[in-house]
Amino acid sequence: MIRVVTCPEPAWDRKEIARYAGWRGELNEAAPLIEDCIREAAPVLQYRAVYSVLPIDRLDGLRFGNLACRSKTLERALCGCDSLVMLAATVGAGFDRLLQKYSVLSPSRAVLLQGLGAERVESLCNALCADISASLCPKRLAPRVSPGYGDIPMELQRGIFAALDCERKIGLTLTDGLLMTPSKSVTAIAGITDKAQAHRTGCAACDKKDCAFRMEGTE
Amino acid sequence: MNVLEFLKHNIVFLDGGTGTILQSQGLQPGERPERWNLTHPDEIAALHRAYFDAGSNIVATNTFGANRLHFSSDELARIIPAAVENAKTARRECTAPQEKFIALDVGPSGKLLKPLGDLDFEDAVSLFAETVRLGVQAGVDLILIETMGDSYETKAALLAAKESCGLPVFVSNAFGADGKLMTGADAAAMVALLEGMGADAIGVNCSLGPEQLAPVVREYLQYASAPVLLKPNAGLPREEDGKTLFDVTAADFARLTAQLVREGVRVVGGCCGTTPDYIAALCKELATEKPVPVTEKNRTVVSSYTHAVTFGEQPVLIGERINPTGKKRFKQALVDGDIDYILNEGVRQQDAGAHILDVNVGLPDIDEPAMLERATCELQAVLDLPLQLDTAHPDAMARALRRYNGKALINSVSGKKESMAAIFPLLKKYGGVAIALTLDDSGIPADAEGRVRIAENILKTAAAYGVSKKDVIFDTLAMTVSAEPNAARVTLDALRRIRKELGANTSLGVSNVSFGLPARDCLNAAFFTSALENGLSAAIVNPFSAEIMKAYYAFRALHGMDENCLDYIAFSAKLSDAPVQPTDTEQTLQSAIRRGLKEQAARLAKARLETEEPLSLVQTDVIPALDAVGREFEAGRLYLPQLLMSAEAAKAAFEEIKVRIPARGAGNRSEFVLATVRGDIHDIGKNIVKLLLENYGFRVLDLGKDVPEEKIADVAAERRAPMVGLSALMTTTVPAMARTIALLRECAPWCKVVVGGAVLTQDYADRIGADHYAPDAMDAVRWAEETEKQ
Repeated sequence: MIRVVTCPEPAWDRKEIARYAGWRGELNEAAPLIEDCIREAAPVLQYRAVYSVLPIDRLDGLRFGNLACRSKTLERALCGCDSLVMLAATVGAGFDRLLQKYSVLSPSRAVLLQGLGAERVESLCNALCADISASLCPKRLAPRVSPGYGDIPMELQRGIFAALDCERKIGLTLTDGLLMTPSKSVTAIAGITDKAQAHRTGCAACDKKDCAFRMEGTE
Repeated sequence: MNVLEFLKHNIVFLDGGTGTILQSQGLQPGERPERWNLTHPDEIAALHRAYFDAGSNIVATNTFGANRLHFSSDELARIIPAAVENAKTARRECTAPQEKFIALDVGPSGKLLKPLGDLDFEDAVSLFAETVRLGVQAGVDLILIETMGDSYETKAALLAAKESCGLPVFVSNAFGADGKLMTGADAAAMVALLEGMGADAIGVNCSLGPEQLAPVVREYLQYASAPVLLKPNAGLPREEDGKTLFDVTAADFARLTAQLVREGVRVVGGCCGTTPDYIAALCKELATEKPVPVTEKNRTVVSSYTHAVTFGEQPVLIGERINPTGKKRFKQALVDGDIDYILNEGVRQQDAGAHILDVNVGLPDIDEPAMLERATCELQAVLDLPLQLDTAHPDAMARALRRYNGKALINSVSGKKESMAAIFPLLKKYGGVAIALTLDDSGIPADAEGRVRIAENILKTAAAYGVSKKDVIFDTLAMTVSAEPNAARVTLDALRRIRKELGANTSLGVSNVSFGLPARDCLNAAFFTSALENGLSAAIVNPFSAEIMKAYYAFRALHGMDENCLDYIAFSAKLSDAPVQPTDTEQTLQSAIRRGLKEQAARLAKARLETEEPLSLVQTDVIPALDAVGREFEAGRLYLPQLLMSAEAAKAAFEEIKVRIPARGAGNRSEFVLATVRGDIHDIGKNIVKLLLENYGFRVLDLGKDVPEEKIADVAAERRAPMVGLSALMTTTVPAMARTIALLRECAPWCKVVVGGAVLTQDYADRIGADHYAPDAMDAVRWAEETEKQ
């Protein structure tokens, strides 16, 4: 079954906004600008998601729902799991309008808003996954991965979109070039596991060591 | 019987869910249900039959996603006739006595339209038209456009249906719990858009159950003069023993939905989760019920993609500043195709309090139809105000109206035969409200009586074109009092009489009245107040004029239109804010730019220009400040947002400089063609590069985003551009970049190409044959400077 959820506003993480916006200096200087962006963006943000729990079939690569995929990254992420959660989340089209506006009027603000949008959709996914994870007790959700991450093919997007009926359920669409619109959106897959929390999570668990957004201090 | 005839005297029952039922019969997640018309025709016909048996008057074909984005044209040409045939089989076999019709079901394309997505408006129109033509050929009775989550796509589908057939069209949108479509439109905006274009029934389906949809349905009933349609879900889905169940039972569904029919809904059925049982229960509940008559609401309304603006309640302010008349800088912007300047003027007027923006881009030397269409599209991409399309050129009006995402204000029509013959058919087709000037082929009558007579004649002619009075607003023509002492009185008399005797709304271009006199704002504001007292509904004004805005807020406070005078108080607070006194004693233009202070930079530049030459100011202050910031950025001491704030401050200073030397002030360096490649719709990175290049004096020709390879190559060749910059965000769009470079090598071999964007690396850039890879915007500027020297 496909579940559609409208989520409450996730808690704001101002440090993350600054990090995604490429603000590496003192936060003090950015703080009033970020607050101003939050004030303007908050009314147009929506928090919508759709997800489905699917069994995993391991005959000939990975199969779940009507999807098939060969990917080492995905296999590692689903290691030891016999089912998974496939999800899509978006903060909506209104926010893209705002980005578009400042992209023309004030690129500096657009860059901050861009960071804000990235933080929003990640916080949305974190909150949603935490909720789903809690509902699975005593099992829990393993860290999520997405198409384009490691060797997970971008093409998998089409299958995810069809399986979750993203267009109709949450207004999320895919362009010919596999870009998601609205742009601040995430699709992801997370295994359902009964193992204890792995101790490497977030940036520390990621192989992309040259990522521009890698947290400082991460090995 | 025709379905509209039947609708006149009856409640019309639609069918219920299709997809959810097919899933329970074995349709797999991700499998397209439309194919079942060919592979499982008996199951589909049986489902339609069950709905006819339950009492449905209209069954919708299983063609929700039957369009060429999901199927090849060949397959489509088999699926749609098969779908209609399945419905006909059901109708033939059903023995129930009610009237039975077959609707071609048209759902959303599955893509978002530009500028949010990558589907062009005309491509959307053409793909819907293909589906509609196939359905009409197969013999449907009406078109049902449903579950649309975007106003612009809804317009494309309705336009396609209207252009492809003469059948009735019902249109239904999917609203969220917030009472808005996914892309922002509220109920009033959708009612304005759809009624304007002549939809035969309009309403709401999917998303939620009848109880949660009730508020938005009631809004439809309040605003709509067309019959209202409702097709709710059976509430929300839940899972029990591996089966999907919905939380509203057939009995509750029937009771809750019937209540809304008693309040006025005329076309009713169910969406996801509803079954023939639900429809049977609904028909039973309403079996003896008489339909509530549909009434004409007589509302004069225009809309944007988010909201509607109503005339006749509160005074409406139409911002007049997007107009080149008498503005050198604006003319230059038009000649240069500098759309950003126009967008800025729009946003500033919205901030100043305008409700609608007039858009006039007419200049003798430009292609006005193309420019008005472009300005309309660009403005509605960044601004949510309704637009007033202002042109004397019928072709420009037609193109802009077609692309407009809402119901536009049309400026203008007059009592001249030629004008009415050109404008009214456009208004009928695309919807809109026309500003009608009370002049005709014999000119402007000197007295009020003559102007009222013309207004009557315009209404008569409009009616002959099927345009109703509510969609005409009269402008009784403000004339110059310095030339004719009675001018203002005649205008006001005519205004009052048209409002009272004809019951029509009115508008004036206020500032004409003061032409040729000093302190014009003072006269304009007094005239504006007098006109409001005489029944003025709207005025075309300069929202930056403090006198006009004072008159506006005072009038509303005095006439009980401003609860607790809150707006007036908020406005007065702004008035008393003394302009920020320059702490400028310390601040220099250089430091303002370095600290990214836009207003200060503009003010300091303006002051310095009183005594200094524009070009020397650029050399002594602006460029050194930019360079200093650029070096800090390159050294990693400043970050992108700070660099950009400085760049924007410098741009603000340049704006002042351009006023002195409009012909490309500082922009005397080489031309630089800039584009985001085909398939890529993100352009912040490209806009950042543009901002910096312009600050350094390069003449940037910005081709926008999602630009085809051929267009970039053509422009580079035609302009003999020495440099091209290409941006791409995703690995999936890098191939388009490679093809663009290959084509550039062929068509413009002299041209140097720099590439950048999130996924690009030096390695990628080398592989696709770029001349340079710019990891950031500053690097692109440095490269351009180097390349120019060579």
